[in-house]
Amino acid sequence: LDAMGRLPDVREARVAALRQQIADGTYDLGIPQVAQRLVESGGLS
Amino acid sequence: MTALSVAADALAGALAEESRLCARLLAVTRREEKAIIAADIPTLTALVDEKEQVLELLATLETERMTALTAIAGATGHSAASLTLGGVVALVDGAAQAKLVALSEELRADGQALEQANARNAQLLRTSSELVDRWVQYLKTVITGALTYNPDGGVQGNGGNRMLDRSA
Repeated sequence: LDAMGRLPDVREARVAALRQQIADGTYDLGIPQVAQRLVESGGLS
Repeated sequence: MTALSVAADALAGALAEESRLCARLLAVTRREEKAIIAADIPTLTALVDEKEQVLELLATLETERMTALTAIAGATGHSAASLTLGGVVALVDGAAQAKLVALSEELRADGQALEQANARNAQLLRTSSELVDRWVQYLKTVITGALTYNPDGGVQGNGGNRMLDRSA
């Protein structure tokens, strides 16, 4: 997969997706979900 | 060592590593906040890559954590699907129990801090429409900019940040 990141098509698609997310305000890389999972997995209930 | 204590150790190891990575992600998020305030678009772009790398590592650790939980469930006759960290804490005692309790508290605090820092940055970006426009334009330049190829066939773009070449 790392090697795929060096291919122009993959790189362009990746940057284009990022650009779209920044433009429409959805850029978060899934961090809220990860943070929520950590909070929940740290819960002892 | 029993199968339970081995698996509980593995779980504690995965949780400790998750906590360490969460702290790293939090540090990146704080650097991102500074970059947003400074309108430093190249740094913001480079931080995307750094965040993605940590998120990939966290996803791997999630698998390790689930593997350890499954092993604990197997060793104690519980259902892996319903076994929580609290359930595991009740199954172990002594130092192992204290360690898991401390790690769970740490992880919850880390997750909350990350949640808040990320929400703050999202809010900052929402109120920085000029920065967002410039960032989008910057990324357009990155896409349409001259792509050159390294002697080994890899891609090298203008600017040289890792968004352009993940093998760097």
